Amino acid sequence: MLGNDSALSLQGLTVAYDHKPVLWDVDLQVPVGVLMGVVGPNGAGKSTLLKAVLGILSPLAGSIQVFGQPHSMQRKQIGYVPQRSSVDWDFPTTVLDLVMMGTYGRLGWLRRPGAAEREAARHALDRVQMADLADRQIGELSGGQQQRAFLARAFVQDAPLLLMDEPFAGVDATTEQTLIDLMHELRQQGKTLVVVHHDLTTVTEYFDQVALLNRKVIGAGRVSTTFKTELLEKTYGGSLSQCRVAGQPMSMPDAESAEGRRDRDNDV
Amino acid sequence: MFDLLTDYTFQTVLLGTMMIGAVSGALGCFAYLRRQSLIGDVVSHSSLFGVMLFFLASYALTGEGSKSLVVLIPGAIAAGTAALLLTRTLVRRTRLKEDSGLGVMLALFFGAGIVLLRWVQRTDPAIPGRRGLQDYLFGMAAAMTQDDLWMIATLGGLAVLVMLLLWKELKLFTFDPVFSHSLGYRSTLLDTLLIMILVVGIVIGIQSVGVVLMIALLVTPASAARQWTRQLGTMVMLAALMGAVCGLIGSVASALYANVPTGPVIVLSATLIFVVSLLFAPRRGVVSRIGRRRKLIASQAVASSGRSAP
Repeated sequence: MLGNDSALSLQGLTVAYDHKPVLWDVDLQVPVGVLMGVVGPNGAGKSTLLKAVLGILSPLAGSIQVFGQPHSMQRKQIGYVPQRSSVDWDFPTTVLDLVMMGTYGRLGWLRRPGAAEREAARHALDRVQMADLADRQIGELSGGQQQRAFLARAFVQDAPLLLMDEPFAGVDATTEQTLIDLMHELRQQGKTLVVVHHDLTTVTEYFDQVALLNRKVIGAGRVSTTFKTELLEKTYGGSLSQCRVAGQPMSMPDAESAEGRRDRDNDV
Repeated sequence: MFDLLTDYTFQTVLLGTMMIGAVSGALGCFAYLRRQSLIGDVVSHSSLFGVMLFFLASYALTGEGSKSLVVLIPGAIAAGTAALLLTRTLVRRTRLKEDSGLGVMLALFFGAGIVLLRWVQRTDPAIPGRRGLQDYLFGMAAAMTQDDLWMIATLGGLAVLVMLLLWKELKLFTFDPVFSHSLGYRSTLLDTLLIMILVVGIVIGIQSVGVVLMIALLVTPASAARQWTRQLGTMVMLAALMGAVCGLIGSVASALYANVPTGPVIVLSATLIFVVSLLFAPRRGVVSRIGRRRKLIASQAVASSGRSAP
């Protein structure tokens, strides 16, 4: 049956803000255990797609299935790493407290986190190499450390499906490498990762599968078969310049810098 | 002064204002962190309209207008909530921005409250019980009765209890509402709860502090407390303590000088605490930051002179 071996299955998903459609009739299958990148131009609906799966936006039409069940019944199966810029880092709390928030879904209403949750959070911080920063104020972290703290929070959630919204935005090269190593480690453990991504030059290197999104899904599947100039041109509207990465012909949009798109894409 | 401490009426007033300060100080931290000061101000100003309506209703029912908080606070809650709900509808149905919508509602409800107040004060024959109604503008702590104290304690206690019980949820929602929702905590529920306890934290103070200045008791202790700490729990406790101290100062002033409205005294003492915090708090304080910058410049000078020495 369709969707049974899919971690995430979208059918005819249409989401609109007010009267403006952002996603239109989106079909997408994400098999269990893959690391999928979601790419597309500014305003293509990438963050909207994640928010619909998380149940933050309700779709106008279509269905969202997570491991074969409607997504509303599968909240605990979905982990989430939001964009770093979506929270106020001057909030008075420590790194350990932030990571412990990942346990709140399991705890449910009224139950307080205790020693077990504290231990889980410390362990997760250890995995992202931030054990020594546990008692720091979150406002004192660098951009890369903030992103790693968010990833640690998702580790604590321990969900089989992980949605990440631009985890590499504004982090240094070392952190980017640490993050991608951790993501590969998660995939090895059988987790499924769906990652909104901007840098087309790293797609072949980082991901197994890719979804090209521009309101609709232009193409989705294995990177080797999907990440092609023709489809990319369709996704980005043809404003592509040829470039070569890792000996393969591939393309990236030249119209805007990745940084500029990131800034404006934050609210979509 | 010493006679005051044993005076039963004064004890009531003292206890009441300190409770108001503590409750609004604590709850104000959430308003501060969610940047909802304006929402608090709308509730506070709008509550005057509800106070006047319920005063008139009690006059219509009993022949004498009641100034008991047991009667007037429900009116204040109703008007404050109505103003917020109308703002929400306005923002959803039109292209008006939230802050403009709030501004419009504040003007509407406060304006209507003032019109009613003036009308009640001038009717002939006089409506029994109308004396002292104007004190709701700038506060008169000395007007507090035993019944009022009970009302303040019950509502304030309830709001604080909700805050303590749902501490984990409210902290998570305030910091990262999207993540909170993704974990299954319904945003509309938490948002409504937070606004409701905020409304309660405001309306219990309208008699002592007044509708015009109550917002200061909500926001100023929170802003001051934020300078001293890096933990939400400590911030809330510190803000509650600061609010209580302001309440104490206000009630003493109200008892010593019969014609001093309490609101401005409370607000000025809160401002004083705030300024001291802003200047002298470790790490975040202005003085500490200047000091650290001086140190940096000095050490840089030492380093560069060491390099240029032959």
